[in-house]
Amino acid sequence: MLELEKLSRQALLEQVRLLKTQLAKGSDTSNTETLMHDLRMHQIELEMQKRGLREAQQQLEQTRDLYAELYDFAPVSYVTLDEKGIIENINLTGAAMLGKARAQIVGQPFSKWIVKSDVSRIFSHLRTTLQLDVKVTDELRLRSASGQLYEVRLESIRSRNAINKPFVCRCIILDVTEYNRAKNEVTRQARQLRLATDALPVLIAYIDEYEQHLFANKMYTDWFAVAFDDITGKSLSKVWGKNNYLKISAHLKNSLSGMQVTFDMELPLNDNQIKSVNMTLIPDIDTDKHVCGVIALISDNTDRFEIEALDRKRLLDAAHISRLSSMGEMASEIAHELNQPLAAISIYSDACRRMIKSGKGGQDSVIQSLIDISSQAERAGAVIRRIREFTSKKELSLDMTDINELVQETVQLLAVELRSHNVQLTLSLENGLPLICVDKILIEQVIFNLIHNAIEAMNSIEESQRLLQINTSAGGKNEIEVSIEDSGPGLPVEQIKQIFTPFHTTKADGMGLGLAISKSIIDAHQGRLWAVSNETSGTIFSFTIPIENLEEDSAT
Amino acid sequence: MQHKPMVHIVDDDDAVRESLHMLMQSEEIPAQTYASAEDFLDQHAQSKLGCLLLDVRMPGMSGLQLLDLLKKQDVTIPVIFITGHGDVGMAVQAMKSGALDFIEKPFDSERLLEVVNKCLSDCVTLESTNELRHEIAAKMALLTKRERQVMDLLVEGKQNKVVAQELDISPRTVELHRSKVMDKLCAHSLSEVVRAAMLISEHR
Repeated sequence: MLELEKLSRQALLEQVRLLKTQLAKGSDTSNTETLMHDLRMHQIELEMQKRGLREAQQQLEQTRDLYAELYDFAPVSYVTLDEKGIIENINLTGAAMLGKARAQIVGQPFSKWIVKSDVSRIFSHLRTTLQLDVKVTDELRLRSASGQLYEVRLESIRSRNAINKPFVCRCIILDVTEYNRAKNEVTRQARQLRLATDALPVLIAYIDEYEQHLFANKMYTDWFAVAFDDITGKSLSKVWGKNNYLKISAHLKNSLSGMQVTFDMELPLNDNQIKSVNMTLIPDIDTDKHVCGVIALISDNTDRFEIEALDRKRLLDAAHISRLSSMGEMASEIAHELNQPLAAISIYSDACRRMIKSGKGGQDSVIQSLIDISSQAERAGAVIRRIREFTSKKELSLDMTDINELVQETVQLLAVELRSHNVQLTLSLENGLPLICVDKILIEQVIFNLIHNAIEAMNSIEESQRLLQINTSAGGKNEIEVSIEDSGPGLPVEQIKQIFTPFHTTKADGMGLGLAISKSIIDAHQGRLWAVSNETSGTIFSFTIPIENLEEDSAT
Repeated sequence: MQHKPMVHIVDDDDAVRESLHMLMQSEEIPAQTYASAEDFLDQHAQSKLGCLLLDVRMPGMSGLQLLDLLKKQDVTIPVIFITGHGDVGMAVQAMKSGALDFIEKPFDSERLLEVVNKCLSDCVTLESTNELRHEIAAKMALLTKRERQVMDLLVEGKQNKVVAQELDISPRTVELHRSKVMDKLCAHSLSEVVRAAMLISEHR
């Protein structure tokens, strides 16, 4: 008998063919022989089947090894737990995570590696997985043998090793430590951003390119009375209301096309308040130069305007009181000044009466006297008008003003005082100075105070030496300068430093407010006021007023 | 014309000066005007006759300074001062400096003309002045001691309030005394009281 095992498949097939022909030829041979043939054929066929099976088995073994490799070297950890939570199997990645050799892990309870507080969760996870035919997911923390802490996500399904065996739990362990850390970092940053933006005294919002809110700080949501959590996804027009939205839509369009824009506006809110705000829209441009949205910053200027208005009102009030007190100090001069035209009127009218009564003097003289009377009445009227204007209390009103006219008007107001103190006045007013934008009365008050002080400063010197010079000129760049120079004894340097402080006075009857108020007035006009003195040639007070750039003004 | 007595009006205020000129014209009193004391000194040399109507307050040389200067030059032209209303101190000073009289702005034309005419008609004789002094002295004698005190202080230019303080009486009492004084002296204003007091004191 041939050793069938040693024959090739081709040789076996040849054997089968030979046997078949022998069987057909020797049909008359004995039954035993026939049977022998049959058996031989079966043997050969069996051998062939056996070989097929072996090949299949080899293939299976190869596949199994491949899977085992995949199982062991996959970047995720696999673990199989039995119904008691004992580790039946674990891949190498899992073993590496737990920090021990696989042999030392298999057979151990999985809970051994779970952080104590999470142990109960692993058991409930196991129970749920074994009961339900679905994937069950949980997150918990485990600690490796070396002590490293992992945050992991478990994804488990139940499975059977064999039909009659109980279910086991096959479980993927994903290390989510990094992921969670990153996620926490993002949350932390978002929280810090929120904290910072909520603490800022401005309204902040991010508006995307579809004009929807992606973010807004608390002040923003408070102002627009939107719940903090609801703002995301809300459209700008809905939050702002149609009318307010129309006011900014053009600016928004500009900003969404990549421009940064800043503007002031009045913003009426739901509770009938009207806020004065300054709004800035900053486009958010990505690396592809695409505008993803804009950041809107809104600052509330309402209070600032109110404070400014209050400061302005205080200055106006103080200036008004100071003017009244100046006029009070000048009462006798004013009376004298009014007395002149009144005296003239009274005499002229008496003269007229006499001329008419006596028939002497002629009509022409009478008419001339009447003309003189009316011009004297006008003169008295002008005195009163000047005083009334000077002492009137008005809102701040800025007008384009000729400084030389203002100086002359002020000199008129002080004419009597100048005369009664025998002060010789020289005006040196530069022609063709540009107009300045000022409150006439306030600047007149400054000039008044400076002249008044100059006159008083010269009280102690000989009448013939009392010289007052007033100059106007184009001072430095874009400003005009007015200076008032007296020939008095001058001021010591220590005093020069103090003269602009309120309630500092060298006079017995003064309040010491004149110069302090003058300084505030000039400050309010963005000008400068200063004094220069030396002990031989008196004191020079000068102030400047900037020339308004009208083009610049209309642009803002 | 050179020797005709003339009113010389010295006042720096054009309107006041011209109106006084007009008033003099209406009464056909010859008058000459000057805008300052200096102008007067320059021009008046030809005629020292008449009287001088002089504003107290003027830039440059004041009325009082001019009067002093004239006295030094032995010019004896009578001077009538023009003072501001209620300027008692100035009026007293003017009278003490030797002014014949003073007149307050705004003017009482009647009184002004009266004074001027008196000057011009040369009736300001020693005799008539003496007569006037006697008359006033007689009236003054009627004043009580307290009234006299009040008058003296008022004539110094002090206000009611100050007088009250100095005499340690109430301002209301000062007012009562003041009106008694005016009644007794037949004065219509404080200025007249001052004038009377000055005439008497010159003599004392």
